[in-house]
Amino acid sequence: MDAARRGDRDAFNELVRSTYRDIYSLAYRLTGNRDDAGDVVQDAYVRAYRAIRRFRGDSSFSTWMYRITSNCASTHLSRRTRQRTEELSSDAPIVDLRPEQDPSLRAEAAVLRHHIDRAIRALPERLRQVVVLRDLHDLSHSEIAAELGITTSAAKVRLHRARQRLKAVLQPTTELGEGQTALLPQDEQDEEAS
Amino acid sequence: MIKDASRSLDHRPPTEAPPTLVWKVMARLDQYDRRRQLLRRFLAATTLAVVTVLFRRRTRR
Repeated sequence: MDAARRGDRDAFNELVRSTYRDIYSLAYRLTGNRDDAGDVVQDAYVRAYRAIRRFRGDSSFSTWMYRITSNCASTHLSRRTRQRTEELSSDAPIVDLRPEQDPSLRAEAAVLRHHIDRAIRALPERLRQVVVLRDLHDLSHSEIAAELGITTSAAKVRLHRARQRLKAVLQPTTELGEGQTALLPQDEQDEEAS
Repeated sequence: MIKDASRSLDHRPPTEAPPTLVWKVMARLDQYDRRRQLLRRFLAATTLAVVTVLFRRRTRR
């Protein structure tokens, strides 16, 4: 880390290799599109490379990268909204069913994931960032607050609102079977059981 | 048909980074380094040219 901060390109390359999978995953969750996610990841690393000397090391490098990636995704999405206005068709075929790997649970899980991904993408950006960082990247409320430059209570409120919206969207569309409830977090499994 | 075949071969979950991504990132960083280098050289050359012109004007007087 210190070497990268001093401008050592090889050290920075090593940081890229160790973090790019998580960064891509976050970028994909925020953009909902492989191509856009790839662009966002590239932009995020260039921004990080430019600013690495100013990185104080208060948080881990990956946490710092999460913040940069969120900002890049926001910029990318707002730019894309200005450039393209067509709506995605709601009856587009589900790409990720992968019938060649066809155990029924796997297919059901893919459908459920598709619903969840779509519901997350439909959230307003400020809510989506919080739910992605908390539920997919497992950051604490305080870490999310630090990442987004908001208070911890604001992060909690946003997370609550985001989950309420997801619940409202997902409940009518997904009839959960036993196999699928196993995919939910423990507290939601308890709710399903009760 | 080719498109369908290649799609069916792509078993990666969408959240998994493509293997080529890391090389694309490295290429972008190389490009950034090259541009920065060019900009530095340009600024150095421009500064030198301006200083030379000013110096010559002064020595002619």
